[in-house]
Amino acid sequence: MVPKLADSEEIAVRAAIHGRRRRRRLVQWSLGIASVIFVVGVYDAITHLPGSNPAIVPPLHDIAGSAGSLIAAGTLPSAAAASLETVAMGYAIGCSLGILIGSLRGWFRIMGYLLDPIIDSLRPVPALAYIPLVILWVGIGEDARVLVISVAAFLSCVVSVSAGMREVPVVYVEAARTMGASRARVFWTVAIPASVPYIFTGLRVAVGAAWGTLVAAELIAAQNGLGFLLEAGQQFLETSQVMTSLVTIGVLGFLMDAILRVLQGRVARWAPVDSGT
Amino acid sequence: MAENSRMPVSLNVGVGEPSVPSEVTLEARNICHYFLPVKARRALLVIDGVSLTIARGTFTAIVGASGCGKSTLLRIFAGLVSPSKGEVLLDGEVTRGPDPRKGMVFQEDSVFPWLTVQKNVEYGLRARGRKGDVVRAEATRWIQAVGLEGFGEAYPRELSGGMRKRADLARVYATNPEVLLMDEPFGALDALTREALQADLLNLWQELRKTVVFVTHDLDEAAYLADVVVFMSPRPGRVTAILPVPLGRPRSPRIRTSPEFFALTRRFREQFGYAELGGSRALAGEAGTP
Ligand SMILES: Nc1ncnc2c1ncn2[C@@H]1O[C@H](COP(=O)(O)OP(=O)(O)O)[C@@H](O)[C@H]1O
Ligand SMILES: [Mg+2]
Repeated sequence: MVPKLADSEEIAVRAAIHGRRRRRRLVQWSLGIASVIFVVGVYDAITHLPGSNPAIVPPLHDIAGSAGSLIAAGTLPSAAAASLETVAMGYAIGCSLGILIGSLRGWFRIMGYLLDPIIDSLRPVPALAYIPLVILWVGIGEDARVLVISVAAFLSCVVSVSAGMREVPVVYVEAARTMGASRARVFWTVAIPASVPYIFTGLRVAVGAAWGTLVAAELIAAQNGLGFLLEAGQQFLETSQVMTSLVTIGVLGFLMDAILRVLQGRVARWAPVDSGT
Repeated sequence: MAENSRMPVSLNVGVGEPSVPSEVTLEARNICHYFLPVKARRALLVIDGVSLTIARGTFTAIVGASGCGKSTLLRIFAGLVSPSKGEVLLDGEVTRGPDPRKGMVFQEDSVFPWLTVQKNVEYGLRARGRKGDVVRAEATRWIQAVGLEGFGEAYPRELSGGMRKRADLARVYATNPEVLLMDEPFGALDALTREALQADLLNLWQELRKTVVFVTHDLDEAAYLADVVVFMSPRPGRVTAILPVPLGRPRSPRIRTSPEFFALTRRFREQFGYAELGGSRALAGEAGTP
């Protein structure tokens, strides 16, 4: 029934399609790299302006030197590892709860009635505002940081997940019901898959929230981690160290987002991913 | 290719001779339905006292202008909406919700975009608790029957509108309902694809003799497919006439260019009053809340 191409034609057609995709990806990468180089270049130009203070606006080679020695001394890798571990824990806890609670309150009206007032009144409170309370309850330590990050990840994830559940087109539910699906089956086989793109949006927003909160939590209470490094850099007027920490946080966040994007492409092949490829 | 292929009429689904034609299967008793539009002070009467009896194994078309409540009526038949007044009976039993004996094809695109065609067609079978290779084989058979062979692993967004509708049909046929409710299934398709799908549907119906309730606003479609045509007035929807279609069976697409067919559709148009009113009644139905 499907008309088949001759092998030679098939190869030509594939090559053309793959070529187009490759060219698009090439343009994407080149532009992305170009824009990063541009920003770095502008920064470099600023450091060369007459009267710019290298202690405040360190030139690129100072930052590179600082990064090099921080890496050589093992300070940066250990800080990054510590932060990554904390973020990963908090993010995993927060997002799991976010998906669970978000889908229940978004899908089952009764759960919405029960949970909406609580979640909607927690939401405007920034996760950082819980730090004093968390410190009082569990003390200053890893637990406190994980807890605060969980709250941040949860709050940004839950909103998107329940929005996705509420956006599921009614006709899909009706179709499933007339085909004999029970309400529970509709939840698992219609509501969840239909809102996968929204779930990923929630997960990606939560990456930013988790890192933001981590740094703030480490600024206040940590002996290790990127936030601690940042804070120490400021106290000892090591602006290069501040810059190095900032860039590291940015790169780690970017990588987490990239992983999620790839995952989304895999899990939701049926829905085109918004950006890239 | 798949757009214009005919369904092979070689399905050995176990439906024997059509049962006694006069046997009633679906019955609507004095159905009224109101909506409360967001910005209106008064409830909007959409369906006003519709009573119908639909005989087993017949093909009934319901025609009416857009907005006259056809989709709402079909959702009520399906048990998805409970009417403000009145009741729907299937084999003498009052409908209280969706029922595995009633399948529905929706006006909107309702094939699940997150499942492949194969998984879409398997969906209803699995929802009924069937498992394993049987399900896969059954789905494959229906995919072939609607002319989508080779597209089982495609996702809906990789198909044309007509192919998606075919997948939708396969999905409903696979659940083998007693009554098929179809809401303008071909309304969104181009004329050629629509005619191909109509012919395929007719072949399949000839084979299976399901009870079909087919909503449309296309009088030619109604005349070509149905045994009986139910006319509805613009909102509020009432039954204004029930006319038989005196065309023999089986019908080939050629019948559509015959003089009897023209005479019949002309009769239908007069029934609607288009000739005198120049379609203004249809437009009245299209407008928003009165
Ligand atoms: N959920 C709803 N709320 C309010 N009004 C509705 C709703 N659904 C449909 N209607 C109104 O009911 C009327 C009939 O709709 P529908 O059954 O979709 O008509 P048809 O299928 O014949 O075009 C329309 O005028 C529409 O405005
Ligand atoms: Mg409609």
